[in-house]
Amino acid sequence: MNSIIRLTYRIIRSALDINTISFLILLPVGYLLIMGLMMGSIIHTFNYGGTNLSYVTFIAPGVVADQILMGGSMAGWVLWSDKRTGMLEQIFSMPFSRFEYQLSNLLAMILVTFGGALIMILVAIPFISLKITLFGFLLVFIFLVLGTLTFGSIMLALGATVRSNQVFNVISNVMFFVVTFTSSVFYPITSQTPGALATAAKLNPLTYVVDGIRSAFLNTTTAVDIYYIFILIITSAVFMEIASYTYKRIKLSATV
Amino acid sequence: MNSIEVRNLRVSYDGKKYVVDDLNFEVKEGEIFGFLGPNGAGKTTTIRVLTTLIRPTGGTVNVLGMDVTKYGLEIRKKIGVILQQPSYEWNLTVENNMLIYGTLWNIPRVEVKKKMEELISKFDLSEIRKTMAADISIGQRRRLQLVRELMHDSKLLFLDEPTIGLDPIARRSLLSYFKSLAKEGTTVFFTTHNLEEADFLCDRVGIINHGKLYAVDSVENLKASYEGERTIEVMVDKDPIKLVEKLKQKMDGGVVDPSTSLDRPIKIVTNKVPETMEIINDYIRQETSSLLWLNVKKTELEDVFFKVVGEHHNE
Ligand SMILES: Nc1ncnc2c1ncn2[C@@H]1O[C@H](COP(=O)(O)OP(=O)(O)OP(=O)(O)O)[C@@H](O)[C@H]1O
Ligand SMILES: [Mg+2]
Repeated sequence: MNSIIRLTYRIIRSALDINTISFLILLPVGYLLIMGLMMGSIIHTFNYGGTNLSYVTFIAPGVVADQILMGGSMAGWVLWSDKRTGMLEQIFSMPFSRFEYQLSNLLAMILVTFGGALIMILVAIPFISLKITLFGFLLVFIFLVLGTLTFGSIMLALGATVRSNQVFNVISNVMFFVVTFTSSVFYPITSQTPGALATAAKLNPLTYVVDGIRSAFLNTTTAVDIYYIFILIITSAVFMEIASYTYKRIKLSATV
Repeated sequence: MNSIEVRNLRVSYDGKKYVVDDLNFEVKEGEIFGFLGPNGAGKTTTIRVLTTLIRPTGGTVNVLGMDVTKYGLEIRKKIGVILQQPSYEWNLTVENNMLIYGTLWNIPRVEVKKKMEELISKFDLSEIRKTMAADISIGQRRRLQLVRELMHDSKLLFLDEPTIGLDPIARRSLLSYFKSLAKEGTTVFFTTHNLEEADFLCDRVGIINHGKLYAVDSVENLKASYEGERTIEVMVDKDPIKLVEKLKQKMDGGVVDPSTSLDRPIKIVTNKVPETMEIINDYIRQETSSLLWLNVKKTELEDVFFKVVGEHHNE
């Protein structure tokens, strides 16, 4: 068996216990149902790109895209916890390269993201009008992979740098919140969006993932979405490079 | 053939101070080599270089005939490493910890299971096999970490203070196992503070202090080179610190155990027994102290260690 597959298997086995999985699933399902249905009771339908949408149909792809933050923060957490339990140093003394560990961590989290996204879609189906095509599914797949690589690498860099559990959790929670709410998960970015927020959304890779997945869900994909894919290829390449760099500088035996 | 060859090895973590300074030694195939030295001497740092976890700052290091800076992955395929740092998958059972480890080493499932059963019964882990690693004792975790490394075959085993936290029975069965591995041709590189262990296990030892290697030889030769030396152990009922000061002042050569405490005898390694006894006598008379314990014995590995470390204590 290939080393990356073996390492990925290990991460899935050791990092995903029942508590983690429940958390990964319950929070976004909560967003989807509570936010979607409650807000839906005051917004009913609104105009998005020329069509009338129910609010829950609008946020469902957003919540699906938000799974990349779940997967991403798990990647960082796995690294941080491997550092703490000594497993990182042990694995580095085994026949694996550091890059293989990094890739397998991201691969494991892509699987987590997919699992989560699939559950979100299944939960959402009764409430939304889904017009996705087979090509649309492929696009969703691509956006989720690139999104997880981007945010997973950011969190890996954090996990490699930060020593204390508290600091890691605080930063990752704040990031989760800020990234989600400065993107187009819960509201469309339009000409009426306040300037600062619109700029933040433009700089936020999650916006591109959300918009791309939303177009796929509504079957309104255009060249713009393909352009977003290119942007995300660049962000994921940049952040993977940064993660590799912080990685090389990991202090061994950095037990807390 | 040599399994390990170290030439002029230097390591610095901060680019200023060398914590390992100009080491030279080799370890022969099938040999058990003990690396002894006080806390902070540079033992773990040396192991990190030999296991390709960090790069040497200077010098050349060959492990199994390969340069550590070029063939890290190849070297790591053939070695087993038990680090000083504990490691375990905290939310998996003891059994699953071992199974996953076998999988990481790419051992076929059937073989992994067979090997696991063998090791579980040999090292008495059956009671805790279904317990989460987070819920077992610290010594049990250490045992798991050691046993896990025996899931795969290695030509060369690195053991960084493997027996810390182990009870005497576990300690003995593991040390005997390492000895039997060496008989079958595995080379063992071993660090410890426990000199009895080193005496029992090692063919040769190196004594390192402040990053410098002061003696490398077989245990017998090291003891023999201190043949004229005797170890005096003395306990007095008053102010032993003062006696230590006096000994340090008046003794010509020889070493006083720097880690003396009140309830342990003061330890002196010297080849001038009568002169030293004279100093002790004077002290007792002057201070009207009385002698609680006096023992003169042949030098053991532990005394060699005190002597080597003590002589270079203030460098
Ligand atoms: N990651 C690190 N960064 C900076 N300095 C370090 C690091 N690890 C060890 N040192 C320093 O290097 C020196 C040697 O440490 P090392 O861990 O090799 O000692 P040791 O002989 O294994 O000691 P012990 O018996 O306590 O395990 C010490 O002074 C230590 O402070
Ligand atoms: Mg050490």
